[in-house]
Amino acid sequence: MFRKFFYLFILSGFILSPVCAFADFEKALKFYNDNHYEKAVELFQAEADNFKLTGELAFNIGNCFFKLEKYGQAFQWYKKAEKYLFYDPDLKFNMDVCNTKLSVNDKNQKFFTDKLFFLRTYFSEFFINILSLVFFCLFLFLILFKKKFIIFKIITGILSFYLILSCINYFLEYTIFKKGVVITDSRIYSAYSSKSSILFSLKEGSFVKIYKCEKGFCKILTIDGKPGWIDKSGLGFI
Amino acid sequence: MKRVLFSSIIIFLIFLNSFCFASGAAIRADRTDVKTNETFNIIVSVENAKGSVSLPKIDGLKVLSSSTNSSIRIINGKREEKIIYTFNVLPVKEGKIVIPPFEVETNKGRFKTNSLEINVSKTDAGIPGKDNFFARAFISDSSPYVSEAVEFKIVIYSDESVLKIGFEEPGFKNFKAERQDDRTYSKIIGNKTYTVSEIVYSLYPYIITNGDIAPVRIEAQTGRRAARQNNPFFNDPFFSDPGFSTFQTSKKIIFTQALPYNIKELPKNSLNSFFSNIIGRISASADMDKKTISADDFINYRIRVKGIGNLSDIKLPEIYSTDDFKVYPDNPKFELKKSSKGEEGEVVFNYAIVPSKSGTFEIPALKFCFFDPEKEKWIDIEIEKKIFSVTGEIGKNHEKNENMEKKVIEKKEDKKIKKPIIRDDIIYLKEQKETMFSSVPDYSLFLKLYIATGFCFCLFLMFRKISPSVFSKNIRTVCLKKLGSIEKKNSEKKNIHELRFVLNNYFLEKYGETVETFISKTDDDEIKKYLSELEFAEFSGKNTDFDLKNLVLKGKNLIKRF
Repeated sequence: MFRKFFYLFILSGFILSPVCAFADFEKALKFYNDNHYEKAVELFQAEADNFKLTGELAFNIGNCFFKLEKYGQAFQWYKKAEKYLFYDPDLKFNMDVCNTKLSVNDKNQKFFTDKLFFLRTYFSEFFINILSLVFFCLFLFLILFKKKFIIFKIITGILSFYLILSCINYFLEYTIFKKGVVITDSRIYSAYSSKSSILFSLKEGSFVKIYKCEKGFCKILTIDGKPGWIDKSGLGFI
Repeated sequence: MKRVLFSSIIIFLIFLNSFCFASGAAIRADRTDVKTNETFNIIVSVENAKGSVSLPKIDGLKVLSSSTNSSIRIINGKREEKIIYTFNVLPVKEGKIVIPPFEVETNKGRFKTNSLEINVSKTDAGIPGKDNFFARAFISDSSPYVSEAVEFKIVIYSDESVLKIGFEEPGFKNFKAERQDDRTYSKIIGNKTYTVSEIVYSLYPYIITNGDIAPVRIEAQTGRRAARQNNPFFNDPFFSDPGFSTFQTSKKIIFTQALPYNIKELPKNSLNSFFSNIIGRISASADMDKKTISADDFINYRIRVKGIGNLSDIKLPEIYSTDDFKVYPDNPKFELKKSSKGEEGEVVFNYAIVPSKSGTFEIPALKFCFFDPEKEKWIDIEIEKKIFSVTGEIGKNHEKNENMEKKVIEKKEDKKIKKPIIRDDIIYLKEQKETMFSSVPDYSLFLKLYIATGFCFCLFLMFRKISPSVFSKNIRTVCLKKLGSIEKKNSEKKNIHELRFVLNNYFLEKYGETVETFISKTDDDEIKKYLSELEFAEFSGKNTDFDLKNLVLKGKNLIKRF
């Protein structure tokens, strides 16, 4: 009898855990509909922390920030969502609206690596990884045939090489070459202290590369190649 | 007897001639005072002998190229032969360089050359009025503030003897550099006319530091006409005409002087207003195209910033939308030209102000600051608030937008104003928490998959190399399949050709031998008989005088057996 209860308890734990998570998501949707955007953000973010961050969650968090008129943060979360969602018309539309609010031209906000490895604009990272693996296998398979399918070998070779490079670049963006968005109009300093001299200022929604963070400041590089230090509170990581 | 005597005298004279003229080797340079990175020639002359000459390795000299020239002259019956070896060398070290005497091996023995001293002095930027080629570098301000524009100029002077000029693009550490259009003009210095080339860069320092702008390396190819030195016959004034002279080119390298700089940080900003990123001098004004509009209309609000400095970096504080009106900013328009103090001109910021209700409203005042490097102080600029009134009632939202867009198009035609994008709301939430591929990929898993795929592939290659017989099973299946298709055909000679082709193919692929060679090695009579049957069917008898099915069947057995 005790054993049966034990198994039932374990089984219910397995069944109910996603249900609870799902309930949180539903609650967050309800809060959003009732215009309680701050509570909705909290729940969506908790969902992302406890479960995992998906493109949809990032999109929804972006929407909440937009409604709260925190356009810099909204842009940051839309940028995050862009990584995981397929070419999504909803996301594109919302980003355009957000850019209008921020008076930012998103087309100019691209680093060289973003232009070179552009596939993420159209496909999700997961899909690109699978695609690169498929092309890699296909290339290895074609190599087995001597003096045959030479054109296919070259094409698959080049494609798999490009896709693998793209994946390496995307992976490095999570670890070394991080990127971020300025979430409030910020001053850029020459060192990691607000007492150091101001080099220039950056508007909310500016896209930057992040090199390192020290003592509450992050060293950044702007699209036009200017380095400087920004207060960490004014920066959102993508 | 007389004839013998005469011939022996002639032979004696010829030998005497060759013995009379002493053989030897000498070394000289076309000039002994040179500068580093400036090429010159070392000339080794070997008289009345033939041999090979190579310069010994000398510290501080680099041999770039070599050439040989020989001459024979007969003066009053005297025959002189001279071989001149010319080495084009580049001194890479300052100081006195001594080329020690070295031995030249010839057909007439070994000869020792004389020693030679070369004085190498440091390359400078050249002397105006004296040198045919010199250069200078200038910086408009050696202690600029960070982000303040400065002009860096390389001025190269060259006279008519300079054929070609090239320079190494300088690397401006700690500066963002933009090259401007080059300028070329003529100038007389001393008695010489120089062509002056100015290469101008606008520099924007971005790090507070000090240092030097490194000397710029400039290389020129110069040419001059020289008389033929080796032959005194050409020393006559008649041959001084350019048509009779040789053209000698040489390479000359000079460096501009290093320019020290000290990038200063901006003084502490005591003003609390928004920093516009401008280091320079600017003024700003704002205007509206009308002060009273109907509810369905909109206002074009324009802020003009004029001045000089790093104007392309300008940022203005945001004008936020309110409940009374929405603000739609357009991309700023830059009308700038480059000057030594940075960019000069005007930046225009356009905003479309769309009212949400009727009444009297104000566009708030804007306050921002810039730093004036000449006065060395922060200066505030304030754009006064603007008041406008909206009359009439706002219609339905979509109607309002339609009307407004129409008006905007009309305006665009009139005043070339961009149509504002009227998007105010966003698309609703995504109600699904996750879809396929919409999460962060597990990169470690993908890495493992790559490694596993590569490993499997390597294993497969190794296995194929170790036991190829496993993979030859496929050839058997393919060949049997082909034989199956031949079996269904009529008894014709062309099908026998096909059968032999398949069998040959099989044995070649598997054993590297033709079917005949392979069968000739076996002792099985039945197989040999089958081969002769096959040959008979192929080359003799009538076109259909054989049993194809039987032959194919035996062929199949043959493949299955081996």
